[in-house]
Amino acid sequence: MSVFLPFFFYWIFVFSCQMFSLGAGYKPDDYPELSDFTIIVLATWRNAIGDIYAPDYHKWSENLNAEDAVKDEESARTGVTYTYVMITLVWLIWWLNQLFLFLVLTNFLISIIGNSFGDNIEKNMEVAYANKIDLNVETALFKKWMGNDQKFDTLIFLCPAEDSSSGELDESEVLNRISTKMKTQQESMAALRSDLDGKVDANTEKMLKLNAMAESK
Amino acid sequence: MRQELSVIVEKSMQGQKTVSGVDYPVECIFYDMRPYNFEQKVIFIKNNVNQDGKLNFDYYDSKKYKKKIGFSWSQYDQADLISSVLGKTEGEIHDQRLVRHICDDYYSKKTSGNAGRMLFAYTFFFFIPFFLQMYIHEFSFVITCNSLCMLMSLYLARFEVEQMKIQGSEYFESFMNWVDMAGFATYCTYFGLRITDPGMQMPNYKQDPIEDALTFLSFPLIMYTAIKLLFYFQMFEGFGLFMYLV
Repeated sequence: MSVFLPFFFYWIFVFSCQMFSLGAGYKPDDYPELSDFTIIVLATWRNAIGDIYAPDYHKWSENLNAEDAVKDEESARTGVTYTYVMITLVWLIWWLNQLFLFLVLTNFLISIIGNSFGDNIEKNMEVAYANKIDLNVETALFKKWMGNDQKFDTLIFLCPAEDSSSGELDESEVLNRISTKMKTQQESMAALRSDLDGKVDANTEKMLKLNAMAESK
Repeated sequence: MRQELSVIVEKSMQGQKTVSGVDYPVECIFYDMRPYNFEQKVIFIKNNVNQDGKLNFDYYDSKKYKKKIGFSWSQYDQADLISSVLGKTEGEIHDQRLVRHICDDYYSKKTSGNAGRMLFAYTFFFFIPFFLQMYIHEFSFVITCNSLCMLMSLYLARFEVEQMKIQGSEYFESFMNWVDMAGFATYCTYFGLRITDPGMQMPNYKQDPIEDALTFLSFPLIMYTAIKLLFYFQMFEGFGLFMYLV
């Protein structure tokens, strides 16, 4: 869509400019208080989405009558030919507008939307979880604001194993597993602490040595 | 430690049926946040120790710092973490069983109720009164409706301020937060103008500056209220998917 829409509006603009430059337009009855060019853009848009109506080239028609009345035969014939060429071009632009914008691009748009819908309808789980997570963050923020943000240092998630069909849990089994895991965690914590202590001791020793050196100097 | 463990397990198993003595396959995932909290403390000490090797307590006691660092893991941190996980692994939720379980658990226990209450409050304290006061021009009715809308707006604005405090600069990265701020400012202007003449009919086509401004402001405000209400409608799964597809 991000490519299609600019492309579509670009062609609406081009066809509108064409119509405007040819001195034609659309009847202003439906568009009071709007400029000629705005009327053409809106009418081109309406034509592009299937609300078809004919162009208005009354200025060329008036010109045709004026040519006949004022000029000599030869120049009148040239003027008439020129006017008819212009009227033909107006209809050609109108026809291209229908062919390219309405028949090709609008149907193309329908197929893009159809494909996009087909691709995304399978993403219902992703979308559902994305929405849930958004609302979860909002709620958590709200709870934090209200002073209800629960604090903890340990998270335990219990869920049935993937191949199991029952939703019942064995209490003692769960407790055993948790205590085993906690022991492992405690050991790693102790290792981390001793590692840090070691580093602190080494640093302190270094500092003391440096201080002693500085004092002796 | 043992006592803590039993409390945690008891809380975790709430809502689960347990059958004592039955050997049942259970997946138990265990996250101890203490190493993380411990690390945070060490980092804090490292950054705030002075030349004599003593901790700078003045800095620690300052309000600014208290807001920034929490030495414990909270439900907000958890929700934020899950959101970050999803943001970095887009489209892989099928494989992330743990993420789904955590998300579902918090959603069913806290979010669905809270979102429902917010949807109710926003509908009856902003959405409906705002639309009614545009078409019913009775003096006391307009005042009542706008007062309800203003109270709801202030409540939501207070929440936005809190969100700013908690999230810091991250708050301004979200487009919807900008929309919320602009919506509040627009409604405040609307409220101020509307209260000056509650009996005013809109639009009156008389080129009165206050009336013109109100008619103009009603356009972004209707859009804003509609978008805001749709956010709370996300709690309904089918509706959320449809919004995404559109």
